[in-house]
Amino acid sequence: MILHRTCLVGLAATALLAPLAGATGAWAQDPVRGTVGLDAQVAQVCVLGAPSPGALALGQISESSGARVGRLATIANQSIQLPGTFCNYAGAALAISASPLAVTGTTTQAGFVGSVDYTCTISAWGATSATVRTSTGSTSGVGSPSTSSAPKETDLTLVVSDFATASDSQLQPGSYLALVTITLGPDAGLNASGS
Amino acid sequence: MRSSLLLTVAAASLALVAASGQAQAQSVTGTVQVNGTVSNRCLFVTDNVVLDLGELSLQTGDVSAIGRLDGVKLTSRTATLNGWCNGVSATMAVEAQPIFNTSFTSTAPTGFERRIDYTATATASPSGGSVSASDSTLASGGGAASTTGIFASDIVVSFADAATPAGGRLVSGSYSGSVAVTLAPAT
Repeated sequence: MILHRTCLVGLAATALLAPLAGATGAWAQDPVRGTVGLDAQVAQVCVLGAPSPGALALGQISESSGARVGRLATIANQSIQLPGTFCNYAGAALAISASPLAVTGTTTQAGFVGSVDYTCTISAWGATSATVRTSTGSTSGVGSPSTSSAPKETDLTLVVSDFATASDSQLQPGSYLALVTITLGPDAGLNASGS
Repeated sequence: MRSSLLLTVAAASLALVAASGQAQAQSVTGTVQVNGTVSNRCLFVTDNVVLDLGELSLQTGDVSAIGRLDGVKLTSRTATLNGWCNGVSATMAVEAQPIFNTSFTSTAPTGFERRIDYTATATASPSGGSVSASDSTLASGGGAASTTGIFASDIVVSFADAATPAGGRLVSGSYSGSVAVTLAPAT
């Protein structure tokens, strides 16, 4: 009788423990997962390719002989490359400002002209070209900007063309200088962006 | 004679009583068995870490490199999870997801990228020596599992081979990726 009771106790223990152990095991044996999240950002950036050539040397711009001697000679279109220009965001605008090609270090005498106007155009940035036409008396004309609707990387070409004086007078002797500024940056804040 | 016989019978009766008393004094043993189990189990103590990698593109230096991936921003970082497994057959596996631009979801224009690939390696430290498992985002699915056995330690996640698919410049915006480390109690 005593042994029989012992056997009964043993069975009872097994019957109670087995369901508990089984339930715990089913829960514990599922794989568990840990996660490492990676957050980062990339800032908006534009780079304007270094102009090549860095300056245009037009040489003698007045006719040296003939009926138009002393007056503006025909000047061929000039090109400056800006390779590797890019903006890594949509909506970046390209704008050009330019000053007339003006005589420096002297006062223009009556009957002479000391300023040559021209047009600057860059066509490869947005759907329309960025362009500006200089105007005598305006030291820094700003024309129509061009906006790209997507991030863009391209080689830009600045074309300088249509040199002309306001009147077909003789040019004031001297050195002539003009400055062209190309600005690439946020559409709404070109003045604050790099150029 | 009669009297003697009676005494004898009486004596015999006493003997029977004595014999009965000896049977009740024998010791016996009863046994209670106590059974239990400890299931194979793994658990993370620290199961979630977020790394803020900051600016991912090169901002200075050579013009040709500006705007491209600065891989060190990822490969110089580690993340530390913590967990344990109590079974000799426990394994650890890693599945890494590429880092994508979540602000710009269109196809990146020519010359630009919005995806960063890398290899993530998780290293646990059982008493017998460190065990690592890796996964590259270049391959679909998770990496092969490694057997850790019994351990309770930090699980250090490190990064290598950071690269964009074509080496282009990164489109600006917010980027996000993730690495999942799975501890399995038994195969």
